[in-house]
This record gives sequence, structure tokens and C-alpha cells, in this order.
Amino acid sequence: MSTTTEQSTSTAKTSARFAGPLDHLIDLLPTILAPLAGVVVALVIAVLILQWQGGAAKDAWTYLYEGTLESAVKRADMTAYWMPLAITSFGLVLTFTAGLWNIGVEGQLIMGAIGATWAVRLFAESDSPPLGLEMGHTAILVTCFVFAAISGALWATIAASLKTRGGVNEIFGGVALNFIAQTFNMYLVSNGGPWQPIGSRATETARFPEIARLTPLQDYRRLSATTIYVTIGAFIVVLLIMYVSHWGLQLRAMGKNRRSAFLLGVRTERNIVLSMAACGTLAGLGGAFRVLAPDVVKLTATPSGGLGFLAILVALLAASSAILTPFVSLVFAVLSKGGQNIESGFLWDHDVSLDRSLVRVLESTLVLMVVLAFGVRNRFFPPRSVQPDDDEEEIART
Amino acid sequence: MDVTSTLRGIVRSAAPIVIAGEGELITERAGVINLSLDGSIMLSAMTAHAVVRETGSLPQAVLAAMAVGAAIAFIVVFSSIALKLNQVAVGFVLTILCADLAIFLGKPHFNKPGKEMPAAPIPILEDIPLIGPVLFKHNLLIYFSLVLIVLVWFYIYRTRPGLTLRSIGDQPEAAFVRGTRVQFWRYVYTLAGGALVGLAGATYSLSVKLGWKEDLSGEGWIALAIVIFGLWMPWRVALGAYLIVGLRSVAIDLQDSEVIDLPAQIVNMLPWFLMIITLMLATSGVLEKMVRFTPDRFKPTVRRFLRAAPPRALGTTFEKH
Repeated sequence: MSTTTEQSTSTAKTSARFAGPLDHLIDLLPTILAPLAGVVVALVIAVLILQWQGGAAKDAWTYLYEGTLESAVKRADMTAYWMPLAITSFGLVLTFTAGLWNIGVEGQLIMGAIGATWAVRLFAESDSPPLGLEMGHTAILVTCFVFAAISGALWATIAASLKTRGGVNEIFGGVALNFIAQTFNMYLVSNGGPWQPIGSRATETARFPEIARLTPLQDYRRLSATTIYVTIGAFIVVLLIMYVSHWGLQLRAMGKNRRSAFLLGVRTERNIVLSMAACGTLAGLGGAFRVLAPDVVKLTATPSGGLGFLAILVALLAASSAILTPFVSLVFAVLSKGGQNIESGFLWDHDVSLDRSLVRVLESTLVLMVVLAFGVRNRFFPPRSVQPDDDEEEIART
Repeated sequence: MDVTSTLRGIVRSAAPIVIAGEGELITERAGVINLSLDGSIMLSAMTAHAVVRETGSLPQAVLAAMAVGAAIAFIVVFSSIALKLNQVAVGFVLTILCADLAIFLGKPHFNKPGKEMPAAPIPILEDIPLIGPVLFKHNLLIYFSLVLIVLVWFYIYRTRPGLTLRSIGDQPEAAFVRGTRVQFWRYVYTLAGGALVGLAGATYSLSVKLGWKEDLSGEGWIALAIVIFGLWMPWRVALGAYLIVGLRSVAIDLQDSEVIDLPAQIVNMLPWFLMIITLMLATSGVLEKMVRFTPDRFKPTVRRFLRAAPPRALGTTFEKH
């Protein structure tokens, strides 16, 4: 009697052990298939829209490829767009992990751009720089980056303190601060604003002096090596924070359950401010990239161009994973830069007017579909660890 | 500055924010956050403008806009209830998606002349001095915004279904035990709220900001903030809308009359500063303290006006056990 039960349990054990890896593979399937399904659905929607507007999907892909990836020059242009997007998304990984909806990232990016421009005006353009500092090329650029980082961080800190001290949800504080930053930027450069060159009617500052421009990489006129190095540096820092440091663990805990984290001794209020400030720092650097880029070198009316919101989509699509963020932001950079070429390509070759905002639609559809697909996965193919029956068996066995 | 025309302008330009705010109030009272307001308003405004240009029919345009608003709300509530997704995440992605869609689909209709809702002054009442022109000399959409405030208040606080609405947002478990179909009613109220948001969009493109000029970004966020400022009470939501629009228009008037010299951009920043300040006032204890300084006789009234809490189950999913 006892031997039979022993035997049956041992067979159950071996079969369980045997089925283990395979089971895990099958468990992984929905996790891999869900985002894929989301991407496929989004692409189908995009193709349908294209067909409806009278364009062929194959042509759209060709224009997209030609506009961003075909030649080294195009790849460099695309990278110049990718870097600020990537560094801003890295910042958002920190706040999203901590469960903070930092919608204010757009404003932080703009304030970074303004901060960098301010540094240029103070140290490179004025005849009497503060403290009598006559700086060289490198020193001025470093100052620009520092100013941008501080401006972005301060702007984020306002949103964070509004949340911790004033009880204003970071979404609403962020949205309001976005609009305020945008309007402030507009005030500086338009209608005789203080930073608009006298007599100019263009809504932008004068071009920065040679000494305050990032050096182009080889002969690519939009890309600078500095932005690539800074972005890689930021990526390594964020990776260390997320996967090595104790602080990253605290942020994760806050994201899972802020109250429990607080009860376990995590200083949640301080971490809210710190993670927001860290995100603001990176977004500010992204803003600096935008104004100091060798082909821009001025503060325009829209230094961000919606890059902050795009970064939010990137962070959502990457599910706040630091490792995935560079790749997702690459895809979005290709789509965004390719939009222009798709529009002009269809107009010239096929006489089809297709607005470039189509790529924006595709990007947000992509995120929505992947988010929904994960919902379907969780609802209909729940991950094994969530199924309570398994645990009970496990407990019964031991 | 002409007081009558200023007040009239405030009632007019606040109408869409009032409609959207009351719509979102209904949604949030049922326990669902529809964060997609900003994009919803843009997309439905564009839809109303496009439909009226294609068909020339105003009722069709209004209905199409409401359908768009309800469809977006459906995605929010479906992904929350059926797919158990975070309402904030879905709502935010939808905001961006709808704004992009509005710009993409609206290109052929951008800055083209549309059709305006005809004015329908109410006879006799319009001749009352001051009140007449301010309240009774508008079009149907603006009248609806005024009636809606009373309707929503009456429905929520004075009818039995209204009590159910409050219960599914506050205590869904209790409501469920009492035999209320929580999930079903959440669908219904979110769709209704979404339809009102769509109507707000139609109010923009058919009346307040005639046509489609891609300049509606931000209005939906103001409406969302006003719901919090209004502490989920119909009267206070309307009051918040009139307050913010009023201050905005007074500031613009002051600037036009050159009484004070403000750069236009500072005036544009004003609603956002107001939004932050009002949210701080609404959520911090400052208003509570003000109760202490009111005369004893008015204390209960003032307290009732100031004290309210968000629906307790706001943004959570309800599961039957």
C-alpha cells in the first residue's frame, strides 16, 4: 500500500520534472506572442489606413527605409534624433518603475533646452561673462549640459514637490508645467521676447557662436559624437541603478506597492523627488542635445517637438525595462524620421497626399495595441506563477 | 469693459469645459478614470467639423462626435474591466493616439470653413436685462451645458439610479451584494460620460472655436483638473469651469484694453497656474481651515460645500468573488 503511493508520487515527481522546462517554454509563449500580436494588429491598422488613403504599404516601407536607414548620412540623421529620445526614455524608466506618471517630461525637456541656451547666452555670447570666466569650447559645452541638467531637474522637482507637499497628482502637475514651460519658451523667442534678436521676426534665437556648437562627427552635419557618448553614459548609469543598486530595488518596491514599501522602511517621499529629479536631469540633457545639435544651434519655438510624449510611449512600450528602451526608441526614431520621407515620397511619386502625422498615429496605435495585447494575455493566458493551483500542489508535495 | 458681453462670453466659452467636466464626473463617480479627455475632445471636434462639411447636417455632426467620444470611452472601460489594465496607462495612450488621429484625419478639413450652430434666443426671456443676453441668447449646445449641470446634480443626488451610480463608485462590493450589476453600470456610465465628452468636442468645432484648427490641446486637461477641483460635485465642477474661463477671458480683456501691459504668453500661462493652485487648495487642508473662520450659522452649509472625498473605488477594478 505504502509502496504504491510512493511509486505514484515518484512518477508524478519525475513527470513534473520532465515537463518542467517544456512547461516553462509554453508559459513563455504568450509573453512573446502578446507583444508580437499587438505589433501585427497595429501594422494591419496602419496598412488599412494607407490603403484607404490610396498608398501601398510596400512603397511606405521603401520610403521609410530610404529616409532613415539606407545611407550612412540618413543613419546619422536618424541617430541624431534617436539620442535625445533615448536619453529621455532612460529617465522615464526610473519614474515609471517607481509608479510615477511623469507626464511632465515634455516640460523638463523644454526647460533643459532653455537652460542650455541660457548658458550659451551667459558664457559664450555676452561680452562680460559672469565671474569674468572666459571659457573654451569644451568648458562652455560642459556648462551648457550642466545648466540643462539642472533646469530639467528643477522643473521635475517642482512637479514632485507639488505631489509630495501639495497633494497635486503628478499627472496634472506635469501637464500644467508642460504648458507653462512651452509658453515660457514661446515668450522668450517670439514677439520681441528677450531672447529674440532685435529686428528679427523669426520665432527663434540667433544662431549660437561657433564656440558653443557641438562638433559634427566627421562630415555628418546633424550628428555629434558627444551626444552619443553622453547617451551611452546615461544608459550605463540607468542600468546600474535598475539592476545593481539598492535604490533601484527601492524604486521597484515603490512601483509595486508604495504603501508597503513605505512600511518596510523605504523613504518614499524622498525617492519620489529623487527619481523625478533624475528623470528631469536626463530629459534636460535631451533638451540640450536638441538645441546644441550642429544643425540647429538655436532655441526654436518648439525645441522638443513632442519628443517628451514620444519618450513616454517608448517607456510604456518597453514596459519600463532599461534594457529594451534603446531598441524601442530606435524603432520610434526610425518611424518619426521616416514620416517626412513617406509624406514627400508619396506626394512626388504617386501624387498621394499623406500627412506625416500618419507615423505618429502608427506609433501610438502600436503602444495601445501592445498594451491591450498584454491585457488579453493576462486575462486569458495568465502567467503560471499567478495560478494558485500550482502553488498548492507544490506545497502539498513538500 | 462691457460686463454683459464679458459674462455672455464666459457662459459661451466655458460650455464645452462644463459639458466635458460633467461627463467625466459621471464616469469618475462610477469608479472609472477616463484620462483620454484631451485627445477625445480633439478627435470628436474634428469629427463634428468633418461631418458637417461632408453632409451639411448639424444633428449628424453632433451624433457622430458623441459616438466618437463613447467609442474611446468604451476602449478605456473595456480594457479596465475585461482586460484588467491600468486605466491611467490606457487613457494616456488614447489621449496621444486620438490627438494624432485628429491631426492626421483632419488634414483635409484643416482651417476650412464649417457650419455654425444657429443661435436660438429664447423669446421673452432674452429681453430680461443682463440675465437675458447672458443666459438666453445662445445656441442649443450652450443651453444644454447649462441644463446639464442641473440634470447631473438632480440625477446623482435626487434619484434612485443616481444613488446606485454613487454606490458603484464608492462601495462596489456593497452595491454588488445589494444586487447591482456593477460592471454593467460601469460600462453604461463610462459610455455616457464619453458621449458627453464627444459633445464637448462638437461644441468647440460647431460653436465656440468654430472649425478645426488643431488648437484644442489642453482643454481636456483643464476639464479633468476641474473635476478634481470640483471634488466630484456637479455644481462645483461647473463653478470651476466658469472660474477658470472667466479669469482667462478677464485677463485677455485687460490685455486688449491695455490697462496693464502683459505679454500674451503670460496670459496663456494663467490657466495652468490656476490649475495647480486650485488643485493644491482642493486637495490640501486649506479649505478645511477656512470653515473655522465662518460664522457658526453658516458652518454646516460651508462645510457641506467644501468637504467631499473622491469616489473611494476610483480607478480600481471590481471583482466578484
